[in-house]
Amino acid sequence: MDSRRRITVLVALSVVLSVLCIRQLISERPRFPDPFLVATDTEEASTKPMSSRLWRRYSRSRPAMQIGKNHEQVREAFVDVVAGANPATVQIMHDDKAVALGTVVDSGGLILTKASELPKEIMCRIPGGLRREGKVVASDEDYDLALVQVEAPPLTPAEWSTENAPAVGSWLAAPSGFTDDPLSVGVVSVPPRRIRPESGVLGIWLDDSDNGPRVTHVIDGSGAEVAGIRVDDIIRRIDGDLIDSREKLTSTIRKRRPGEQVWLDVMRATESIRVQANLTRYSDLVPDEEVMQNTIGGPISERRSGFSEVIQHDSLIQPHHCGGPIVDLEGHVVGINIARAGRTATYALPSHVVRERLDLMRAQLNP
Amino acid sequence: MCLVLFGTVVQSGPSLVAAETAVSQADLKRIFAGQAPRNVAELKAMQDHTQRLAKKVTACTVGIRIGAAHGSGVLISEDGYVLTVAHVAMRPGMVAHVIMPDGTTYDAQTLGLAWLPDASVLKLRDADKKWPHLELGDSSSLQKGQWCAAVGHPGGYDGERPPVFRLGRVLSLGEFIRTDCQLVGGDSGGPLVDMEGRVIGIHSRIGTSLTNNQHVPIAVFQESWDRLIAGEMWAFPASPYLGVRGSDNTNTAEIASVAPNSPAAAAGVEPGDVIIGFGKHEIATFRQLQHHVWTRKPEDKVELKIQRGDKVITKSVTIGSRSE
Repeated sequence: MDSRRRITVLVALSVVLSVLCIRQLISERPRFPDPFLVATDTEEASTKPMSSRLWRRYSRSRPAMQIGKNHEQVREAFVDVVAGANPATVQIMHDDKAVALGTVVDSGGLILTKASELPKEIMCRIPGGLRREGKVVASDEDYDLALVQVEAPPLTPAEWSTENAPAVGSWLAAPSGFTDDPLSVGVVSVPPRRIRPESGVLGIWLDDSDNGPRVTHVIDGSGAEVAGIRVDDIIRRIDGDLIDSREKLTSTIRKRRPGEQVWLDVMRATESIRVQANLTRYSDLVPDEEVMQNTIGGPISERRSGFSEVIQHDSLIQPHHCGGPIVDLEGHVVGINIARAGRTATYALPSHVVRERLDLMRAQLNP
Repeated sequence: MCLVLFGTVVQSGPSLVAAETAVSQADLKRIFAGQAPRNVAELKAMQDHTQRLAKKVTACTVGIRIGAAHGSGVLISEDGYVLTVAHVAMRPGMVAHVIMPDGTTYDAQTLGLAWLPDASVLKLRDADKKWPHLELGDSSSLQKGQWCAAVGHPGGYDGERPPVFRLGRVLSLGEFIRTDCQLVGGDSGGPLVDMEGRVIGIHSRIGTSLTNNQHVPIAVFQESWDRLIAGEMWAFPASPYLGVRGSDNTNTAEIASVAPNSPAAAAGVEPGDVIIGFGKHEIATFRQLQHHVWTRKPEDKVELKIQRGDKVITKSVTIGSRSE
């Protein structure tokens, strides 16, 4: 899958860059210039992101991990905590590989999951081990949610918390669906807040000209390059809207997200052509200190911004654990993990947001 | 065990622990000292305590902006001393902007720095204000497995987000404390605290592994406090050093002078020599020579290929070190 391969390449690139840049000091970008010295690896260091399958073996074999917060001894204390939500946790697979977790929302076989990293063909491994083909029947792009239908014996739906989101410092646990102890535990790091969407970029440098913004450079690997945009092209319209200046182009594109597509009307010498271009993140095109540091130690979700409300916590999960429930110490489902956002942060959509969006998605279903 | 909250000793007792549990203060102390919780009752007791801890520590964690650098810091005295790391402070006498959790910004000045230990101190300008602050702990009595918490501003201060709280455990001790409280750029300078909210470390660096998060032990600050507040700067990392100066000829690496007692002098390099090879690298300009010296470490042995007059000779040099 394209975005996963891209992430793998990015992680590999980040790891290579981090090893080469061990002495690198201050970066120029005002937002992320903390010259965090990436320490030379000690015997604990690992350059491979940790899959959930390997986690157990890893934690048993490394002395330091045996005293860590995620050691199985700690996670075992949470067995009763996740017992209620475990049967409501489903593994979503593609080609025998886990691509997401899902949260059962209806005993009739409706499962909620993270939408953006789902391949077309998915198989749900429900508690008990049964595998059933899953079909996406509704989706919510704003919140990156999808409803998947499976034909299965009655499933146990999640019990949603109706309380306010847990306070900073509260324990959270992520059931795995197929083990007694949770996948991961952590604490709430930041109270619920909005995560602004990231802006997409075309990947071009521009000059103003009499006829409109003129392309002076096309960045390698950018959506513009792939769409065939060339130096000296003049961008006249974006999705039909007239663009008369570099500033207008920038402000128009800035409102769009990475992954979105735009139609460009372009003047090339005397020719008028129309192309569709994909928008990407700027940090996908140019090595970025922030992304590099955030992907040291493990991959992050591709869609990790643009959520109206998330609970941020410090549980260690992988992108393919998103879509699963998280519970508080009462065993109530307080949210679903929606993104591994960085080295320090995992985002979950709070229960009340999930329930609202669920109602809207159900309305999309055939009666 | 007493919980010190905002400078007041609160005598702890059963009222601080969830009513239905039989988790005593001694039990909680035992867990925090380095054990895994065993059941939900113990988890709840930990949680009650951690929720209060988070409020207290977050209130004293600041964002720091010095020039283009963004980092974190922690208030540790009523009169406004702020701890951070050397690689955020950069130099004594710099103007620093200290951002409180509510977004209010105050001016401060960087005082002293210890570079290799990565310690630095700032002082807030406002002498009249009584600053909220945390007490210092004892990093020399830390135990592996001990629970701890980290607060800071990952990614730099964000006006839409308070300081970020993380829980973890001490994994190893040494020049730096290593924990599994995940850190990332922007956290540098923020506090690592024990479960009583006392500062035991200051975030410094990370390695590739998620469990490789390193903090300057608070002992470094305590031991060199006087030097730090006096504005001294010391313990520079050693730079690789050859001891030669290039001539104006930019088309060759011609040596204009050799510093006395330098590694180049010891190797027998003379003024007028033209360096044409450094290890396995061909050298065409002085800048290239500089570049290759900078890729080495002090103590490295390198073969220099030298054009002296019409002869090509080799000299073996041991790279030295220079603290600036």
